Amino acid sequence: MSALTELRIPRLGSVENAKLVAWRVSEGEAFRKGEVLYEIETDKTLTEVEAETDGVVARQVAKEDAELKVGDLVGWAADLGTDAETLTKLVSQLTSTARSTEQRKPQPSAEGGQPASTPPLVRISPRARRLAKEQGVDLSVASSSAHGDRVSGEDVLRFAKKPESTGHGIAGYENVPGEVVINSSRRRAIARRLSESVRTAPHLTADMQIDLTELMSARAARNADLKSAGHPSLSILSYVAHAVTHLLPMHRSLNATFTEAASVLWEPVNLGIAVDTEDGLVVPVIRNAQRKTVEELNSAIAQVAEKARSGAISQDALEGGTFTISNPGSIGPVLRAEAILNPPQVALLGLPGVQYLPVALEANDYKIEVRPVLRASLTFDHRALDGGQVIRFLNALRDRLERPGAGA
Amino acid sequence: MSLKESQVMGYNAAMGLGLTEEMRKDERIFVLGQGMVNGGWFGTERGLINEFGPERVLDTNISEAFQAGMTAGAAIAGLKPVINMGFGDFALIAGDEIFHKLAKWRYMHGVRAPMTAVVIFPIGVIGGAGPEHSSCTEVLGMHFPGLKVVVPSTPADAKGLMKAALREPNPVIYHSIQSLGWVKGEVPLDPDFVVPLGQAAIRREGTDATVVTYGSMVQRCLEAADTLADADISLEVIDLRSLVPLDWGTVLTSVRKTHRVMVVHEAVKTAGAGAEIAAYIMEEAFFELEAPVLRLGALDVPLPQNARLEQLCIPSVPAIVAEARKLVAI
Repeated sequence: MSALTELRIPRLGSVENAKLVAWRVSEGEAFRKGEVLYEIETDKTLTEVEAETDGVVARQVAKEDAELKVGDLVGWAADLGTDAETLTKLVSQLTSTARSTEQRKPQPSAEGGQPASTPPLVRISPRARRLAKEQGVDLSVASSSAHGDRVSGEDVLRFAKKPESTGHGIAGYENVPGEVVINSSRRRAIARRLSESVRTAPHLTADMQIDLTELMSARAARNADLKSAGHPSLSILSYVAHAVTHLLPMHRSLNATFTEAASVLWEPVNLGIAVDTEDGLVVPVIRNAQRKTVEELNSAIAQVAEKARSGAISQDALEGGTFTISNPGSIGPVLRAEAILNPPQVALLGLPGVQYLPVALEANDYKIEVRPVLRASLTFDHRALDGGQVIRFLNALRDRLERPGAGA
Repeated sequence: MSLKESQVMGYNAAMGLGLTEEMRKDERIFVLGQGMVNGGWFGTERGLINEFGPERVLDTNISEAFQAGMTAGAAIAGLKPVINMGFGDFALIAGDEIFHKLAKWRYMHGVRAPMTAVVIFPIGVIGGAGPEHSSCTEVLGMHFPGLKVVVPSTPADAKGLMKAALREPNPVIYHSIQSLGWVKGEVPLDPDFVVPLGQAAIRREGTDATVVTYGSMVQRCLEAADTLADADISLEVIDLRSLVPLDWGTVLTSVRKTHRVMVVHEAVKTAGAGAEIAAYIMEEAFFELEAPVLRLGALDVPLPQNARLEQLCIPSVPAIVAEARKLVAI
């Protein structure tokens, strides 16, 4: 008789938390190696977990929507071809031993990284436990409103009170109706990372006005050629990204990670592109962007953005960024694109979109003309960088974008 | 004729007043102990010799075992002896007579008649009396079934509990509080004023946490509550007044209100009354609690002779404040 094998949440980059979104193979159903067994949502993305061998799902231990950790047991599989009777027998032998929450065994990563750290402990007071039971309040939901790592009876009572209208538990707004939307793990991750970033890195932003007259005409000519050849046209973002990624190797302190003891100057420019999705901001990474042409960057950006929006982006593609470009101007004509740093990076370029503005032209005796202008904002970690380095970089960026024919 | 309803007097004097009033009513009551003829060690029995004479006010030799043995014998014979042990630590010499004879004879010998006896058993620091004269051993009375145990914290209670003890059919360990002996307070003059055994007093109402205390620590807990009120922390202070029987009803009602409790006493923390109180609350009201029941008691050391060092060993107002802050922060 064959034995059962464990199905556990595989290691996914640096991710710790994972929510089981859906099983793709039901209990008793057979699967082939490489077939998708289940989908999980991590802090950063939706991921499909594929079978490593052929087999049959004997038992689904984790239910859909279960909040899990890397290494958690989600189910048991049997050898392919195991008949139903044997499956039942095997499963019944399990029930005394298997539990999804125990035996948390993180599998070592390929790089031999450290095991996932233990989950943060939430203390639920005895009174909170009793009240939750009496009032039918889900403690995992109540705990989201608790202060810090403790759930008190008051937290539970706040949730138990008229859940329709005042379940939000916001003090002072008990009588204000409102809908409670539970935050997705991605939203929570964004909140955590951004708060952490603001708390640890002193942010400063320098703005630079860049006249895109020449670039716009060069781009128009280039796009006309591309269009006649049946290729997609190039975005302004691609030009800016190209300029940035080719300048960063000469301004290495901006393509870096800061720790108190040392700064790491990264060799490649792994460019993060902030992508607005329905479920919050995602920053896919284009590796070795400094080697890419404008056309290559243009298609790489389109590709990762599309993947991020459809949720098909893999965990790997979200990691290892060294510099980020945020392009809120693509959504609407914002006036300024200051942003919060994407840790552990030390600099981020925000693009508010091109606007036609009156510009007093120095070269033309300060005559005022309406020009296409980009007011780029460079937000940086003042621990790692001083204004001088940043402004030198912005000067170089401006020179390069204002005279597209001059440089490489 | 108009009579004053109350009078300001000291704690020991109020005990004496309760004793005097009951002796006037009940001829079976008599007092014994060292120095009784001269008013007792701490003035409680002052003047008794003049009013009741040497028949009912007996000066005994320095033998605690003899005094307590006579007490047990007189009690089982139907008299109502009151014995003052002086310093409570000396009562340990009479441990057999108090914790076996007095505590158990009614049970052992099937005594259906009352067996009234009051053992005045002073406890606590009195300003540098040293390690053998300052103990708080009230937990012993809780540990020998058959005894009642009272710990009055005010002059009024000192009188009222003395009177209740003398009307109680079982032997009572009356723990007078040494540090309160000369503390003054209003004492009702009504000869029918009695503080029933087993009835706690809520000395201050509050909502954030309950402080269960008694004896010398009541006043300190009230001062701590005053301090914390400025920080918007509202403490409820319960003065137990009796340890046996203990007013669990009042304690648990308060726990169900505040959901946080600490016990404060002058006795050493380890295996003190607070251990029993904390354990009982957790057994009876665990699912009312937001936090573990905390205990604050004396350090586990023999008390120093030096009065200032002595104070460092027992809970101070700032220590109570700090512990209460810790409790409400959990």
